[in-house]
Amino acid sequence: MRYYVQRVFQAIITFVGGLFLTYCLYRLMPGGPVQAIVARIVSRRVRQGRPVDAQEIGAQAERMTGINPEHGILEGFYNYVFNIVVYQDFGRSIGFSDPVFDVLFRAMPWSLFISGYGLLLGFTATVLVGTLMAWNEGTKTDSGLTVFVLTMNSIPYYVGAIFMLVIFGFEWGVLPTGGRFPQSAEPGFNAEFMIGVVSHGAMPILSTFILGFAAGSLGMRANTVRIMGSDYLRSAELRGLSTNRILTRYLARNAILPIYTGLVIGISAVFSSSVVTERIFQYPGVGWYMLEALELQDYPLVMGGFVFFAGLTVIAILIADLTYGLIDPRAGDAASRESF
Amino acid sequence: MAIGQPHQSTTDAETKDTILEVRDARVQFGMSRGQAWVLNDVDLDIYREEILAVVGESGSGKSMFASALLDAVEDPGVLSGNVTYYPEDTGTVSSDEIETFDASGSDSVDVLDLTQSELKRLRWEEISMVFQGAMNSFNPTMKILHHFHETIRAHNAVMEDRMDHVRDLFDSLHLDFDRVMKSYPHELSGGMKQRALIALALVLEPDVLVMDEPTAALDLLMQRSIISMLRNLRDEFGLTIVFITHDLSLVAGLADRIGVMYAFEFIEVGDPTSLLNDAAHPYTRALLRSLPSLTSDLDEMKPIAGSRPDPVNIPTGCSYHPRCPISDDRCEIEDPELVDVDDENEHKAACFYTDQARTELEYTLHDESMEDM
Amino acid sequence: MTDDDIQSDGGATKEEIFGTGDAVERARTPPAQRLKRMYDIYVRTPLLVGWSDWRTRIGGLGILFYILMGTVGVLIVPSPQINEGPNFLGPFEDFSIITGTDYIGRSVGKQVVHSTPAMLQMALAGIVFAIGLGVLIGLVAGYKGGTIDRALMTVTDVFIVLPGLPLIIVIASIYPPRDPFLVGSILAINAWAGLARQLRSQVLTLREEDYVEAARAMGLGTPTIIMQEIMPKLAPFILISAAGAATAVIVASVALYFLGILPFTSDNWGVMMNFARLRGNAIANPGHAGHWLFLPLLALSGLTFALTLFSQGLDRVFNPQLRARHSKTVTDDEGGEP
Repeated sequence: MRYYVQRVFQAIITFVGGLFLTYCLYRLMPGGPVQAIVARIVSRRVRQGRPVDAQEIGAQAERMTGINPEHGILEGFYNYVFNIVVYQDFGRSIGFSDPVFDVLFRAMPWSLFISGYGLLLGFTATVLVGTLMAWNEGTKTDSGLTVFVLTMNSIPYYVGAIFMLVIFGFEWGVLPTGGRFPQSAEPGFNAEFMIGVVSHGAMPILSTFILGFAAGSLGMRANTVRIMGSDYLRSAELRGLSTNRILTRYLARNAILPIYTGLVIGISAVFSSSVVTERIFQYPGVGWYMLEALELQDYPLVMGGFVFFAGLTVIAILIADLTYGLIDPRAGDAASRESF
Repeated sequence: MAIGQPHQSTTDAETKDTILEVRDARVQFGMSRGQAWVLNDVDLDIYREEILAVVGESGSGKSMFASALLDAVEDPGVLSGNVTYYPEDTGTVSSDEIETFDASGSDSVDVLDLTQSELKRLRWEEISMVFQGAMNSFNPTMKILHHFHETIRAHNAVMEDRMDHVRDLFDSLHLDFDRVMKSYPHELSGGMKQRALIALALVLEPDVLVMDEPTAALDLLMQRSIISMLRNLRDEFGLTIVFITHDLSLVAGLADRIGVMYAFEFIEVGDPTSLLNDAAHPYTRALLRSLPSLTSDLDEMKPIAGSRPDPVNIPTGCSYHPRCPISDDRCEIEDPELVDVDDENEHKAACFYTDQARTELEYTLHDESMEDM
Repeated sequence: MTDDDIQSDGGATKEEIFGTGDAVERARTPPAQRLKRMYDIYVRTPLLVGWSDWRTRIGGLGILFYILMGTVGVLIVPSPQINEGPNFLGPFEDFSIITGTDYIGRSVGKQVVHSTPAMLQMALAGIVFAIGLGVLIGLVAGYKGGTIDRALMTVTDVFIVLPGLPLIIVIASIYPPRDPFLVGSILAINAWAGLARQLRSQVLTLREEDYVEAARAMGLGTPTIIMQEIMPKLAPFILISAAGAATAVIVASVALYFLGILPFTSDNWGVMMNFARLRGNAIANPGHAGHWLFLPLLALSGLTFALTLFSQGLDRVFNPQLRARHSKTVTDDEGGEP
């Protein structure tokens, strides 16, 4: 129980900590966004000959950024978080003239679709390939796969994405090169829309899959090899347990544990990479909007994008952490999970 | 060991009933430097309901001997020779099991010649094993109870009967059944895990229990208490126990017979009294001289000179001759057989000069449990 | 530190400079010698050990190749000129410009070479930033313990968990970095956190070791103990992290330049790819300007490949857990005996 409380608490601290960090950057950086917006309003008012009322300008800036420059750092931060948590108010997007939350909330399922499937497929492949390598330890299969995985692992994830885009998207023209679904399709339970979603998502998912797959499988191989040499596996064999049970209950179950912790890092990396992936494939998810916002100097949207990513990552990691308790009975003792 | 304990009668009598017969057992495997021998033509009979202690230093092949009894030598090791198991003709063995082994044609079972399914039956139902490194012999992500359940299920035994038996075992081992069963391995202490492991080894009522350094990671008190429980278990369930250890003083009071291994073979076998009080082999004598005790001077304790033999390059003749103070040319060429040194109590040693060893190489026993014998 | 190292000449002046408190012990050694020993501990020994693994060997040679390309290479290869050849010359068409040319007839190959220094500068900045911060926070947290430890680790966890690129984009939106060194540092914004955690746990284990205990009993100060007893053990971790930080910076920078997110100042591979995409339409029409896009991509992949091999190899050599089962069974039958 203490473990779960601790994890939830840690997730909250991480989220709020990350928010505070960016909030400070926004507020304190000379020439930072809030100051820039205030300056813009002031100069417009001066041009129009309207009075420069600090309070009014503060309120206007708050509407645009979600941050009131008149408040102190801590008070302002409290208000900012309060608005986000209670009213989902991130300010208003300058570029898309919609509330930031609406823009991002519409984009979020698509990002989750890409990242989630990519990660899940990647994790499955990691486990399978790692086990396959360990099972054939020392053979040609093992060394061949090792070289393959090392290569996959060492080439930046977007290299594959670019190649896919060039080959499948343009040279062969078999997969769409942008968007979330065909424009002609009516969203809903119809074949055209569903097939469209899958074909539009195929390349981004595949590219995320490559990122999620390679990293862990060498670790999985090492774990499996270690457990194959463990006393409890030998004991299980002598006790006459079936190969099936030994494979699933003894080998796979125990070898996955350290990988599962690695998944936590993977989640963060996948969400991080989705900014680049979505941009390359012109796939309007949260990351795509974030980069659009950067170019439009749409600060509230940039900040909102970050908060979304931070939130999604923290929640995903929290889920991984909490379910870890289900697969490793030792999770309660912090010592066994991390080596400190 | 005090004379007159009930179990003594079964082993002391001239009608010694062999349960396991090991002949020419050898284990070898290829290393980059050459062929390594980690068990070198071992011959030994193990008698029904005895406790045989196998003693030797690290790398003397005693673990290999233990594995060989169950045909469980790990790859890339290759076991050859003969290991014959003689099941009890009547009594505890269920009709089901006899059927399987009758199929092989006689009342003896050639362990190294079994099919996979026969081997699966032999292991745990007839001969069972407790490992070295017992601390890690449980699956860390499974409750203790499930280890028992899966084992019983894998051997198609009747669940209620076996679990009743486990309750008895837990009582004998002073374990709290309910608490231990619902724990994960990491929640138990070393001693509890070790005892639970012994219970797991005995769940199918095997006749032989092979224990490879079962107490190595435990503290002295726990070691002693497990040793005494083992003796009770033997009496209660009619077990034959093969106890592998490097600690001679630990098993002195427990064993009915002690076998000393050196360089992957037995160099001396005998009952504790005569083996400890009047060891015949120079190596055994050196081993006894190197034993530490609370009261002895450090000067009296002499480590054995030289280094242990290399499995790739075992010395010719008597393998102990490079370290032996009384060896001569004959020892370098000729390999001594295990022969009787004292006719009346089956004390055997593999040395040409046992008389010389007994007069020239001195040692004193300090450990009280040993002197008593 | 051995007594032989103590020298009478110049010792006093050195002490005036460095010689306060704990530093006395270190200051007795002349800087040149100290530097040599540092080099021995942190670079030479790990590399020598690492050399035994083929990955480290190949990776190390690869890294060396890129370093030479960025330093000597730019001197040998003349800088690319406009109209060296026809615009959009394909590769292998003209063997004087084997790599082909871009939209204004500059050799793509020469551009790749001349972009290397900017890449190396960013990588170097990332390494310095990540290692500096990681070592500092990891060591302080591990050695001090208590509240300081908890506070530092909370911050570290925040950085480990937060997705890196979005954070970088926030910073880039506020303050678009132009200098390669600054870009490198910003891109390494969360690369230090993993190292800090690793080092902390290492220090926690090491500080319980007997020889560290002994050093403390001898009255050596904390910095001395860290520098002399603890740091050498951590050298492989640091080296692996340095390769990791360099990889992260290079991968992220090329991506961000390629997508046109960071302001262009110097030529680098990402900028080349961006031009190839926008001016050469290389993605939709790879036959036309593909070489312009793919050559920098190849250079990038080669560098990350070398870096990854290098750190994988080191990890293998220094992390005994990864050693295969074989080595365990071959030693002897009772290897696990206490």
